[in-house]
Amino acid sequence: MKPMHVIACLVFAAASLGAQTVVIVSAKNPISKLTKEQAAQIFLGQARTFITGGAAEPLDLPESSDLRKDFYLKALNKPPAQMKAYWSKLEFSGTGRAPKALPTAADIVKLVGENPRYVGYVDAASVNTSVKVVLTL
Amino acid sequence: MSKKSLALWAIALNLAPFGALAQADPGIRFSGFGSLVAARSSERNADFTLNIVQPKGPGFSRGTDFGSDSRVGLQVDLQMSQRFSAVIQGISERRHDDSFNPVLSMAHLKFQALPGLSLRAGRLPLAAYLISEYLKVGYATPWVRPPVDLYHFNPFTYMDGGDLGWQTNAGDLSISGQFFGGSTSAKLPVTGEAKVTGKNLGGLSLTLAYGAATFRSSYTRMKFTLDSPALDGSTGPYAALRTLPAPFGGDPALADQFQVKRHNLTYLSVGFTYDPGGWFLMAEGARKGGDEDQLLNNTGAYLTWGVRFGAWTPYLTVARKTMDSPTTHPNPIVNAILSGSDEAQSSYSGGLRWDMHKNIVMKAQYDRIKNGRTSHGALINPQPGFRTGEGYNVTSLGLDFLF
Repeated sequence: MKPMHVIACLVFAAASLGAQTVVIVSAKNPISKLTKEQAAQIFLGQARTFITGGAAEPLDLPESSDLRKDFYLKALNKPPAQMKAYWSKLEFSGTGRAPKALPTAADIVKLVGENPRYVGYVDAASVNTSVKVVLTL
Repeated sequence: MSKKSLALWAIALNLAPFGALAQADPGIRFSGFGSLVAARSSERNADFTLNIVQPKGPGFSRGTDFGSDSRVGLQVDLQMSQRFSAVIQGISERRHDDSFNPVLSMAHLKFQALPGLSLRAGRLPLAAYLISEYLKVGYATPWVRPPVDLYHFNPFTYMDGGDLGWQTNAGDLSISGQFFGGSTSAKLPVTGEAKVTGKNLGGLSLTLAYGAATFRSSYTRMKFTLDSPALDGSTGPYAALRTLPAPFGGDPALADQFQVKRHNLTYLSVGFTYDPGGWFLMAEGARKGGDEDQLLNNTGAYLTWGVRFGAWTPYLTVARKTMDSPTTHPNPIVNAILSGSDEAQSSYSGGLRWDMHKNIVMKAQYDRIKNGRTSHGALINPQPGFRTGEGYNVTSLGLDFLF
C-alpha cells in the first residue's frame, strides 16, 4: 500500500471514529455496558434507574445539535419532531419533563464525570477519563 | 377559604423543610400549546360538537366554525427542589356557555419520593382514556381532534385529589402505574345549564412499554350526579314520574332509577400503540358503564394507521360507537327522557399532518360519519328537517403549535 493511501485510510478512520456517537456514564458508575434498548428507555423516561439500582438521569444536547438528531435517530429511530411530540404529551399532562439540555458535549462530559446519576451522549472524540463509554451507536 | 385550598396550603407549608434538605435544582419554566382549527359540517340542520360540553358547532349555528377545536393552553412548571415540583396550567377553549373564559386545568404539587415513585396532590388530569391527559395538545396527537366516537361523552378532563405513580422495569419492559382518587365536576349546556359532578372518584391505570409497543389500560369509577333545573324541577319529567297516577305513566321507582343522583359510573379503557418510526398504529376501546339510568351505557372504539414520509404523515381512522343500553322504554315519560340520547355512529376519517416547522404542524382532515338509525351521534341542536340515521361529512383544516 502506498504511503498516501495509508494516510488517506488513517484520516478516514479518524474522521469516522470522530463521527461516532457514544453513550457515556461517570467512571464512578458501577455499570460497564448499556444495551440500545436500555439507553432508549432512560432517554424516554421509561427507566429511571440503572440495573444496579442507582438513579439514572439523561442529559441532552441543544435542539439545534446534529449529534442530538443523530442519537435519537440511531437509538430510537425518531426524528426531532417525533421526540418533541413525545415530550409534549408528558409535559402538558404534568407527568414528565424532557431531559435537561446542556450547551456542548464538553459540558455533558464534565457533568457526567462528576455525578454517577447522569447519562449523556457525545461524539467519541469528546470522551476523557472521567467518563466511560457504555454504548457505541 | 374552602377545604380544598386549606389542604393545598397545608401541603405547601409542609414542603419547606423537605425542600431545604433535598438537593436543590430549582427553576421556573413557562410553556404553552394551542390549536387554530376551522371546521365545516355538511349537516346543516344540526351542530357538530367535539364533546358534550360544547353548546354550538359547525353545521346549523355556524358555517365555518373556528371555535370548536381551537384553544390555547399556558403552563408554569416550578421545580422547587430535586424532589418537589409544581405544575399550573390554564386552558381557554369553547365552554358550555359558548365563552372562551380560561379554566384552571392543572394545579398540583408533586413529591418524587424515589426515582420510580411519586405522589401528587391538587388538580390533576383525569386519566380516564388512552390520551385523556394530553387530549387538548393537538401537536401531540395524530388527528385534528380525538375520535368523537369515543371521546365525545366524557365531560371531565381534570380531578381534584391526589395520585400515586410508580414505575419499574423488567428487562426491556417498562411498567408504570397510577392510583388516583378525588372528585370532579363540569357544566353542560343541557336545557339551559346543568352541572355534573363525580364524587368518590377512584381509579388506576397501567402502562406497559416494550420497544415500539405501548399498552395502556385504565379504570375509573365515581358517584355521578346530574343537576339540571329543567329536568329536576317540579315541571320536569322526574316530578311527573313521582306524582302522576300510574295510568298516566307515574312510577316513582323509575324516577329513582333514571334520575342521575350519586349513581355508579365507570370508564374502562384499553389502548395500544405501535410506533416503530416509519409508521404507527393506534387503537383504543372504551366502555362507559355503571347503573342503568338516563346516561346510557356505551362502547367506543377506533383504529388509526399512519405512515411517515419525512415531514408528511397521512393517516386513516375507522371508529365506531355502540349503545349498550336500550334507547327506548315502555314507560312514556322515561321514553321521553331517553329520546335524543342515542349516540350510536360509525365513521371513516382520512387526514394529513405536515410538520411544517419545529413547533408548528398543519393538519387537514375529512370525516365521513354515519349516525345509527335512531341516533343523532355527535350532533346537537337538531332543527326541523333533521333526520336521525343519516350520514354527513366534517372537513377541518388547522394548525397545532407549541411555545
